[in-house]
Amino acid sequence: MKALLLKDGYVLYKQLKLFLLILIIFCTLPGISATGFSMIYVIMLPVSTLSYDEHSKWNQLAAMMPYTPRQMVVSKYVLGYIGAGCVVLLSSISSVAMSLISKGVMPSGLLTVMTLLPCIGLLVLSVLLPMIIRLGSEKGRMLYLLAVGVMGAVTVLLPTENLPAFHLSAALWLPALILFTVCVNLLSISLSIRFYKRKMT
Amino acid sequence: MNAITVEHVTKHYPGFSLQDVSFSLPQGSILGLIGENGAGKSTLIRLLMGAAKADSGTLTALNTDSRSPDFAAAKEDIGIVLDDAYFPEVLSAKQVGKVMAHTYQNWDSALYQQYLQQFSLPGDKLFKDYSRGMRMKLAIAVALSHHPRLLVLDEATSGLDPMVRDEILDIFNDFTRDESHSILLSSHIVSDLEKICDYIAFLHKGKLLLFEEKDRLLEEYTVLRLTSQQLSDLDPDAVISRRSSPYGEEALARRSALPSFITAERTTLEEIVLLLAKGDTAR
Repeated sequence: MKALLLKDGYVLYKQLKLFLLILIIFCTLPGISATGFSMIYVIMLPVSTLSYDEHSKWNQLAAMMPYTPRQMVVSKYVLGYIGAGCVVLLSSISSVAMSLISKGVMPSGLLTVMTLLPCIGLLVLSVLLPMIIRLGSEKGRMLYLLAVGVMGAVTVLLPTENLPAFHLSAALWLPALILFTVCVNLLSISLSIRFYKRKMT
Repeated sequence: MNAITVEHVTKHYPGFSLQDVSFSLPQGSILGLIGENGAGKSTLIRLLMGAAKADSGTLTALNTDSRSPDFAAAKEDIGIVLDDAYFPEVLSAKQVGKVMAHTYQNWDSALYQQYLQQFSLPGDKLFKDYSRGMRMKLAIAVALSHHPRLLVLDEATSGLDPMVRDEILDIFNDFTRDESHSILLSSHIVSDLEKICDYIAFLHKGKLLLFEEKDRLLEEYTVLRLTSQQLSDLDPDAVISRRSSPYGEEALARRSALPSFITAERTTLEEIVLLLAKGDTAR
């Protein structure tokens, strides 16, 4: 799987150098909207690599190399997880640094937001990837746009000020959300592998 | 021992069927798979490499069933070259090498560098800027750099100029100097296969019309140009296929079954294949 991630890394770096730079800048900007848009963008990266794979017919060659269908599929999810992790890490560091510089206090809703956004992102990814593997990147384009719209709306609708702190109710629903995200992702991976294998026949 | 065994393989797609195909490739040999575009060569290779599932029949490569879970490991010993290289276009040859180093356990970086130099392939130039000949050479360099025992080549020489084709065929010949090495080479360029193959399999519209040792094929088969009456007088078992032309009748015949008064000239693989494909098969 390391080979597949390395290949995707090279492709993304070469194709999207400028966008990756913008992504890093967005991650370091204060506010939920900037982090939300970074998350939207980073979740779309595995989808983009699927499209590049289709365009270069890499899948035809890879199917004859020692990669298993599981590795082919899981590598796309792992790419999404790495991306989401990077956004959370960069945004958290930036938020904490900004708060310490300006007020000297930690932002109250940071943990809530940094849990909520990647969970939403990974849930969207878990819906998108099986559909795109099943339908192909051309037909999946509409779904892709729909997902961008949904995530954009969620980001805009979230309050930008006076965020709820990690209080009792959040202590209950955030772990539940994480568990739900993990379960949906596992289900999604299993479905994607099935679709990938069916496509091979 | 066989490097490849294909037994009664059938695969149906809408508008195309591969029908009951059987043949084997002895270890240390080169098998040429001939067939026009759409004959089923690529389908057969996809099935052999486990990239698609046969409806029935079995395919084994290096003694491993292509449908078994162990086949991913067996692919370590199989070098694959398709009709184009199909690496992501934005990668350079160096980056392709790094990806392959994590793909194949037996990857030999020094050997890969040696091939890049031998083929005059610039390591930093993007793959999309390579000519078709360079792309195919890169695919061959990758296929050879993990010390495979079997090379599977699907139209690897098509679209290349004769000079490059000749160079590539020499590389394949060198590869089989080791008796444990074998090659399955599919092509519709019959002259290439005639040059290097030990065995010939001819696929036509999804059916295997011929599987024979090449030398035996060229020795045993002949093309006759006779009148319709002369052909009808021959032993029916002697005539394999025949077709009418404005200048008379052409027939593919077995030398051994012909009467001694008929002069049987040595023929080419291309003539044999054309008569099998376009003629009325007698058998």
